[in-house]
Amino acid sequence: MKLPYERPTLRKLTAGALNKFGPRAGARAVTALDGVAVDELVARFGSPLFVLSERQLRRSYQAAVRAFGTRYPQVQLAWSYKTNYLNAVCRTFHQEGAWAEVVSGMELEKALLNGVPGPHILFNGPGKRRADLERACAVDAVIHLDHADELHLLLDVAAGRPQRPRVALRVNLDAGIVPQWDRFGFNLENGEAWQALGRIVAPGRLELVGLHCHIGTYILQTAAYATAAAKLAALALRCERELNTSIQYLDLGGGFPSTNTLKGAYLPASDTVPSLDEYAEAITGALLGAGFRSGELPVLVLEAGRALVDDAGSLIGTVLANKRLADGRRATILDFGVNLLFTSFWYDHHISPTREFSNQTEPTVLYGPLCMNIDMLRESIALPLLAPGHHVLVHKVGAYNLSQWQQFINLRPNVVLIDQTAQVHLIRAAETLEYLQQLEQVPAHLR
Amino acid sequence: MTNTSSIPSFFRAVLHSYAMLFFSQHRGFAAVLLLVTFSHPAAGVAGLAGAALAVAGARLAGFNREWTDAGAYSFNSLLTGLALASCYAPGWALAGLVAVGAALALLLSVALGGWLGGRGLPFLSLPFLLTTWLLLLGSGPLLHLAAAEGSVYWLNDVYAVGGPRLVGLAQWVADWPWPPLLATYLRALGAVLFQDNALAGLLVAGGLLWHSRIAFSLSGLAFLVAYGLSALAGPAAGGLNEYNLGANYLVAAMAVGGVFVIPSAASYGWALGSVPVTVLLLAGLTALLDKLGLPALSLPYCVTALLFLYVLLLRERPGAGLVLTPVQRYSPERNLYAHATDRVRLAHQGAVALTLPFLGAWRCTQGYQDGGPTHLGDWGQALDFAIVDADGRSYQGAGRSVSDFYAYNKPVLAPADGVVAEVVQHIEDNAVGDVNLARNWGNTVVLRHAPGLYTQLSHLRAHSVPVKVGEHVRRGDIVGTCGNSGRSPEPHLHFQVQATPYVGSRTVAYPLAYFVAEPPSRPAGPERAAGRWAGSPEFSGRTATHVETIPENSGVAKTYVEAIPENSGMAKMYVEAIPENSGMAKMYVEAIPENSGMAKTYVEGIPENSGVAKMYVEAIPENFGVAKMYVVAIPENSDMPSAYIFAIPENSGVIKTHVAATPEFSGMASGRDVGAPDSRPRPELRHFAVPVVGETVRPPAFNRTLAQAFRFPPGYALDVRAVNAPDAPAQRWEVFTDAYNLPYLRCHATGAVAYFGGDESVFYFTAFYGSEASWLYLLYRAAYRVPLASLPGQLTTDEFPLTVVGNAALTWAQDFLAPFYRFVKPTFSLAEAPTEASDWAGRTVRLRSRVAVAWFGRERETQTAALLVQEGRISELRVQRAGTAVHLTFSVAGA
Repeated sequence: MKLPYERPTLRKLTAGALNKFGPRAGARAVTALDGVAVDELVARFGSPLFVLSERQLRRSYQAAVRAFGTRYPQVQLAWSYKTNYLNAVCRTFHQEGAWAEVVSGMELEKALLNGVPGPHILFNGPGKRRADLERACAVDAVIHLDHADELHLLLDVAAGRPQRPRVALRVNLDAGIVPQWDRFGFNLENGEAWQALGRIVAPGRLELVGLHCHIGTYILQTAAYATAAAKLAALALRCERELNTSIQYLDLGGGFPSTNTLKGAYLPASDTVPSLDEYAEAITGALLGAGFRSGELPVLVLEAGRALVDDAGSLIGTVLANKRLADGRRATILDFGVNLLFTSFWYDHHISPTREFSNQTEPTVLYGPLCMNIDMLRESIALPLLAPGHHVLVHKVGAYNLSQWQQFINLRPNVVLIDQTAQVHLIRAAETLEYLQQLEQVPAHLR
Repeated sequence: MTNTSSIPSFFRAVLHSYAMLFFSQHRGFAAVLLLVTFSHPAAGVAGLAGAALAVAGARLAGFNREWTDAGAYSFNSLLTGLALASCYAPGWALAGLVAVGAALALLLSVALGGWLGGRGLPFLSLPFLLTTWLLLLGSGPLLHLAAAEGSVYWLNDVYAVGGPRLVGLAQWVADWPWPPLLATYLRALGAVLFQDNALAGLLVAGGLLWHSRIAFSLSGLAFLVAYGLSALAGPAAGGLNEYNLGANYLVAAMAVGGVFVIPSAASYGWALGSVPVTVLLLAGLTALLDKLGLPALSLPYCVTALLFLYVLLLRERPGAGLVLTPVQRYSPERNLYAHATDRVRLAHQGAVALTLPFLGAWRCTQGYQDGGPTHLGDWGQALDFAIVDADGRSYQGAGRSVSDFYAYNKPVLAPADGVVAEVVQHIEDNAVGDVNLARNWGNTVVLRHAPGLYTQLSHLRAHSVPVKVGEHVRRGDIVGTCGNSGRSPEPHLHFQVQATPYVGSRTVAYPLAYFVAEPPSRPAGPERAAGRWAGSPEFSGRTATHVETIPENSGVAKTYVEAIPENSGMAKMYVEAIPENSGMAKMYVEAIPENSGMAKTYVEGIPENSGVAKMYVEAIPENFGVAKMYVVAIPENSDMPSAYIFAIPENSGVIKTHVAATPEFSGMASGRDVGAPDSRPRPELRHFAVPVVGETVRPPAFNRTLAQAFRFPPGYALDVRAVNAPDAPAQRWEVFTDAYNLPYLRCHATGAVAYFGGDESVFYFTAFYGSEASWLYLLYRAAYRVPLASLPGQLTTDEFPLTVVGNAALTWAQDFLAPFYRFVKPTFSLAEAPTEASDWAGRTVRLRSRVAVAWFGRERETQTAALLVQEGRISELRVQRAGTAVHLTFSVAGA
């Protein structure tokens, strides 16, 4: 059989730092996603192409429910819309039983359109306007209060309503995380949160149902969650004792990392990131030991986003060109860049070839197609000897990329979902110039 | 009780005295009997006076009001009055005698009631007997009374009552060419009231039929047996006169077969068996009492009935056939129907409720006696649980380390309140795949919940038990974490109930009070290999035979026979044959002989292109403790995840009949256009059931709104108003508890009473007494059973006692057959209407319920209701029933 041609390379021989893991094997090829060949996907839907795995979405959700639900009597996940608000993704989670966690009026409407009942929507965010609050009250969503001005605004909105709006208080606290996230919510340690709780309960115009705390993002210390849970539980017990108001749920937020490796990390994330079970152990252990009477434990709400969706997304791209930089490094230009892969600003994404190559690899700089200096996906990655037209696959891109992607220089591509029976569904069509321009208006004098 | 209502209640009590002669509270029947007594006017007056005097006396003296109102203290006085008036001519002397007799009968009734009642026996007509004998013996020397003549020329009496017209009717009835058998029967029934004519008998028979079909059929059968016996034996001493027939054979048979024993085929046999005994007693007692100059009257009946009831009472192991009536409802039908449903519905009332010993969803990996590897023989009634993901795996990653397993280190909870009886926690966890046969239970906690009720939780993680022996634990407290110690190749939890506190005691079958179960989902993988059954097992005597042959070119992929003889203690037959090209996916037969203690039959056959993904039959014989029949057939391309039939015989203690064919699961109202249809089986809430292998079970999530609304503490009261009459005074329903601590709702306006029960997971009504026109009856039928957990789309079903059936013809037909076969089924079903987020406390929940009557495959809806629950209480009830609609609103009284 004739072997496929691979271009010749010249490499400087370096021994590299000594380690115990042995020489690194060449990147393994990933030829199919959920049983569908990558080449077939590209042939049908073009390149670049986002691919979501319904199977993985469900498995991740079920794993999270399992991790918390087998340790605590009542657990509810609320899907963090901002992480990925493609309707197909949201509805998959809602079908599994997730509520919705939204942070803007637009997301609130999106959740409602996805069939989420109002009372199952938790409305977070520091930037709620009056109209947003009125809408949330109308559909009976739970409003997570972020600051005192919002509390006053909501008291004003609530004045004319027959039913008391339901609220939860967002609390920030010292869980041992540096820097402490103190820009959202009311501070616990300086008494601001307790003062706010008094102001919520005293007028009787709002129904206090929950307490919320989100200690940060990509938190690797499980103990911090235990601290936060214990402090929140103590606050809930104090509410019950002193304000005679029983807290129905404690929302520990999200922030659980995915197994994407942060830039500059010494070891890959799969080796350093604690499993969801470890977070669950810490949080539920703290709540079970907090001193609630049996049968009166509040519901534990979690707003996991990244941990549920990141693994389910992949991005298929194509090599446009290879070139050599002035310092001799090899550079490869792909048909997607930071416009589609926003997370490449903070992750060293794992990227695989999609067909078998020989063991020869070459350290490569990966650039996107943008005419911008910042458009660099990987500073250095060992990839086989790719030629123009070859495809690559970026793993674990489900979180944030599909909500933070940019229509910049290029149009956004197709997004497909592979269902559990390996059927491929287009869930967002590639943008067209017409779509891009449909909202534009040209003043008459420029026509 | 106010003065105005005491007068009617007095007359009701007098009327009940008449019905009580036939163990009834049927006022229509009572009126008929009253009428019949007046065919001999003097006797009628004397009887009525006796009854009235006794009721008045009982009320004045402050004897048990319930018994007084039921006529239980006065029917003996009534009998005394009737008997005296038939013996003596009317006059002041007789009046005095009746007054004295009534008083004496009342005193004897109360005294005998206290004495026999404490032994669980009725006093029957013993007070009447003693009184009458005393008066017959004693009044002779004291008074000079003329014997009555009316009974000889009874038409004179009839003429006096009704004139020539009634005489004509009476003569016509008497002259009617009745078959002699029927004439005798009618006269026998009339003789109970000391009447000797066919018209009286006809009226009594009609009334008896009106009151109870079962009592009527018993009287007829007993009569036939008595008649047959007398024909066999020839005219015996004492004779087969009408009085003896009526007051002894017939009444004894009714008492023994239908009133004090729940009517059944066995009770009919028992009643008919009492007839020869009564014959014997009658002959003997008549001979004995003749020497004293006394009539035997109903003594033989009393002796027979007491004898037959007392021996039942003294049984050490009461069977299912002859059940003594637990609560007397004064109607054989009511007794039977209430018992038949209560035996199922309330089987576990008062039992210690055990709940799942873990949090979240676990799969039952080995159930009761399922032929699994370890739950065998004396240790068969045990459950194994592990956590399994959607792919059927119990671990993540490679599964080489115990910590890869989902179940490992998960909290294990106390299934009920109790005391720690035993803790073993020093045994190291096994590596995956290893078992520790020396310490096969591994780390174990044994909890004592009640005398003779222990639970054992085994294979816990080493040193994970936070409790000590002697410590009290509450339900849901963590008593350890799941591990892999003992005979456990991979982390799982072993749960068993036992009667003794030792680790590894023999197991006891005991159901779990409530859990949510998801039936095994259909296999997701590609179709299995083909197969066809071939070969038969061969028993080879003493040793096990094990044959495995795979002829190379036979086309049979596998043949496997294992036969172990019956007396080896581990009998088993196992055949598996899969011919390669047979088109049959798999055929699997496993049979274990019945007397091995582990009977099982198991057939699985899946023709490849049949469109049926799976077919599964499992039958375990009834006498087996937890018998089971289980059929699953899942058409491959249907949206129906399972068709599922599950039946456990009634006497097994775990009763359930369930048929469900679930359409595709719809999680979110508008979320259907995404992805493939979700074909997960629908979870269902089970009560007092045992998880079966393959089921995924989890504790239910309780609906706080429903739990609050259906928690009726004593003293809680609801004011109920009809929407179309808002100004009318509200009916107040208040919660009380009776002497046995059983709670009930009582309607102050109508006096209706509805008993209820339940636990954290369910509310249900247990019994209703009172007017069926009352509003409370509507709620009783509308909220007969309400699960307090949120399970959208789940249908809750239950069975009513047959007394709720409205159709008279149907009811009567069923009543005649009821002791032997019940073909009418009044059913209840309830579903939660989809509302927005009812799982929040304080939110609105809408329940829809339906009452239907099914017979011979036909079903007719008799009531539909919508129940609105909000703000922690029942808020509205709308009922559609027989063309009428009722709309009620509720408010908490005093709130």
